[in-house]
Amino acid sequence: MSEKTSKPANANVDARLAEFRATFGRMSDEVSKVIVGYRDIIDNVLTALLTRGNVLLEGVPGIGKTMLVRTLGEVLELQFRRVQFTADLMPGDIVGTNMIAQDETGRRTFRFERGPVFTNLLLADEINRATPKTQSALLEAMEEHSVTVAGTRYVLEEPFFVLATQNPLEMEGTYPLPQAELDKFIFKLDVGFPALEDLDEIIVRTTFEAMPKVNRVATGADILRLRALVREVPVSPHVEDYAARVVLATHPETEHATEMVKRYVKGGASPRGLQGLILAGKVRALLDGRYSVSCEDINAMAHPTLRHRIQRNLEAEAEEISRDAIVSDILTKTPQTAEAV
Amino acid sequence: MSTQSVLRVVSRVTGRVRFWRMMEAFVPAALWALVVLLPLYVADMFVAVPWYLLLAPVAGFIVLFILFAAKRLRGVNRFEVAKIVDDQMQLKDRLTSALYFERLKFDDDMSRAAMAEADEVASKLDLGKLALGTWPKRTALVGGLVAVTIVLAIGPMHIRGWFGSATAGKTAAAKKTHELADEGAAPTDNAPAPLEKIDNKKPIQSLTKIESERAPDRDPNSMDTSMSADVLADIEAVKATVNMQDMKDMQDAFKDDKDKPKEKDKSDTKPPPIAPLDQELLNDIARATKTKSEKSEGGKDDAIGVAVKMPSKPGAKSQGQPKKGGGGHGGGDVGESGDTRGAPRRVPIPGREKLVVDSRKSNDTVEKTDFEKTVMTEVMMRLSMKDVEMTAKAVDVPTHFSPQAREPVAEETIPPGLRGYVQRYFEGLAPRQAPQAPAEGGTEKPTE
Repeated sequence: MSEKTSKPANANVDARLAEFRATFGRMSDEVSKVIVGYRDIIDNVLTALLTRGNVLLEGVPGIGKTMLVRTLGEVLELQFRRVQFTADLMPGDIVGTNMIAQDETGRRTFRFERGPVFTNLLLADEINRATPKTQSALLEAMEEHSVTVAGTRYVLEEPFFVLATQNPLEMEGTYPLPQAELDKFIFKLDVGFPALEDLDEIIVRTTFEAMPKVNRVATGADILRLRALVREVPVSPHVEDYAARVVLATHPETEHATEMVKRYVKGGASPRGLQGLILAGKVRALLDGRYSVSCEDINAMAHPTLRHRIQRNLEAEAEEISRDAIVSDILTKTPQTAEAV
Repeated sequence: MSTQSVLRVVSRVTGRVRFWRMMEAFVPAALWALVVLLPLYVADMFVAVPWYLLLAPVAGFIVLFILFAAKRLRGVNRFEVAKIVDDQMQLKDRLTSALYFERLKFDDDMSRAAMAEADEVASKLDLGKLALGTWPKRTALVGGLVAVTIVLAIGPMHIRGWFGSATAGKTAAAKKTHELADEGAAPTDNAPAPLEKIDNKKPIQSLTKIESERAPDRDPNSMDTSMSADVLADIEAVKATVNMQDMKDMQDAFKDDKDKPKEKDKSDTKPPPIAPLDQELLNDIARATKTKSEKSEGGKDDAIGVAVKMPSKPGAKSQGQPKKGGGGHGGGDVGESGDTRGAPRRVPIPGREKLVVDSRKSNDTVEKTDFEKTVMTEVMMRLSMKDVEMTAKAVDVPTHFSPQAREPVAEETIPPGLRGYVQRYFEGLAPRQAPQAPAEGGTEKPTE
C-alpha cells in the first residue's frame, strides 16, 4: 500500500484506538466511583467484557463483589440480572422452562418462560453453592451465548456477560466448580481485602450520604464495536509462539514444563486458555496505545487467565503451593525468542 | 509499509550482538584451554614436555571456541536482534513485530499502523544507550591466566631460569656432549663418546683428510697401551698362520716406506708412545726399517692406515692433532713403546663406531697414532679367526661403512703384502651368520 493511502488508514485506526481507550477509561472511572480501591479488578472485568469472556470473582463476603457487577450494569446501560445460587436452585430457574399456557380459546400450549440468563449482564452470586447440575446450566450460555430448552435453542442477546462470585472461606455445603465450567471463565480474579486508605474512602462514600450516582457511559453497541476492534489487533508470530509455550508449560507431561509444574501440577490449561490469553493481551495492547501484542502483555494477563486452569496435585495443596506461584515460575523460565521465519 | 528505520537499527546493532556472543563463547573456551595449558607450562620447567602436548590445549581452545561460537551465534538473526533492542529499550516488541509483519506481508490497517509506529520509534532511538552485553563471568580470571601464560611463554629467560635449574641439569649433559663433539674433544664423566655421522655424500678423500687432520681423541701419554693376554695370544696364533710370503710382503712394504725421503725434520716431533704389539712383529718392522735405511732407497709408496675410533678413556684430555707429515703409517708399521704397565685389557667399543679409512703417504714407520695401533691389533685379532669379543658391531658396519671401506681397497694402491690383511679385516666386520652377503652399495670387489 502506498504512503498516500496508508495515512488515512492509519488515521482511521488511530481514531478507533482513541475511542477504545476513551470508552474503556470512562467505564472504569464510573465504576470506580462506587467501587473503591479495586481499579485493577475493574479493568480486568472490563477487559473480560471486551474479549467476550466471563469472569469469576473470588473473595471474602462484604468486599463489594456484587456491588461491582451491579455498578457495571448501570454504567453500560445493559440489562442486568442477579441469580443467588443456592443448593436448591434448579437449572430451569436459570435458563427458563416450558410452561403450559391457555389462550383465549381455551387451547393449552407450551410456552417458554425465559430465565434470568436472558440478559446482558448476569451475576451468578455464590455460584459454588448450587449443585453441579445447576452450575452446568450455565455452560452453554457462557460459551455459546445460547441456551437449549426442550430441544429448542435460544440465542442470548449480545453482549452477554457472566460474572460469578464465590466465597473461598465457607466451603461447607458448597460444590466446587468442575474444571469444565472453570474453563469457561476467561479470568478468575482474586478480590483481596481493601487497603487502609481504601477503607477510609469506603466509609466516606457510603456512610454519610447516598451512594454515588453513576452515569451510563457506554451502550451495548459500543461494547460490540470495541470487541470488533480487539479482534483486529495483529499478533506477531513470536508472541503467539511465546503464549503457546507458556500454556504448554502448564502441562507437566510436556517438554516445556518447568520442574515446579512437573512436581505440583496435575493438569494444565486448555486451548481456550490460550485464546483467552491472546485476547486479553490484545485488549491490554490497545489500552497501552499499541497496535500489536507483546510478550509483556502475555505476561501481564497470564495470572488471571491461567490460575484457575491449573490443577494442583495433593502435594501442592499440602505444601500450600499457590497457582500464582506456579504461573510465575512458568513465566520466569519460559524464554522469549524471536526466530527467523 | 516501510520499516527501513527498523532495519537500519537492527543492522547497526547486529555486529555488537555478535561481538558479545563471541565473547560469551571465547571466555569459557579460553578458560578450559588455560586450565590445561598452564600445568603443562609449569611441568615443562622441570621435565621436558613434548611440543605437541603444549599445542594440544591451543587446538582444544580452537575447537571449543568454534563449537561455543556456533551455538551462541546460531540464534543471531535480525528478528532476534530486534527482540534484544525491544527488551533493552522497553519498546514492547514493536520492532520485532514490525519486522514479522513486513516479512509475512500483513496488510490490514492495524498491521500497517504497527509498522509505521515501529519505524517512527526506531528513527528516534538512541542506540548509545543500548547495553547489549556485559563481560561474561570469569573474564577477569581468564585475563589473569592469559597473562601468566604469556609470561611463561615469552617472558624473560631468567624467570624460566629461576624455575629451570632442574631443566638446566636435565639438558646439561646433552649440551655439553654437543659442545665437546663440536670441539673434537672427548667428553668427560661417564658419558659415552659422541658419535659422528659420516656424510656418505662426501668424497672419501675429503673424509680421510678431515680425519687425518683431526686431533686424537685421547692423550697418547695417558693411554693404556698394554695389550691383553688374549691379544698376545692372537698374535701368536697369527704368527703361526701367516706364511712366510706374506711376512716378506710386509717387510717389502716397510722397506718401501722407509725409502721415502722425509718431508720434515722430526727433531721437534716426539713420536707418541705406542702399545707393545707383538714383539715379533715389531722386530720385523724394525728390521725392515733398518734394512730400508741401509739401502737408502728413496721413492714413495702408498700405505694404508685404518683407523677405528675407540671410546675414550675417562679423564683423558685432548692433546690436539699430531703434526702433519709426522703422522702415522699404514700397514703393520708400529712405533716404539716403553709402556710396561700391567696386563692389557681390551676396550669395548659401543655399537656404532666410526670407521675411517685413511690412505696417505708417509715414510715414517715409527710415528703411529693410537688409531693405527688399534687397527693393527684388530687386524691381528681378526686374522686369528678365534671367537673373541668383537670390538665393533658387525651388523652396522657393512651396512653403513662397507662401501667406504672397499673404495680405498679397490682404488688406492695398497702394498701387496697388506692387501690380504685389509681385505680380511673388512670381511671380518661382516656378520658371522652371513659372511658372504654383499654390502649395501658395494658393487666393486676388492682387489686382491
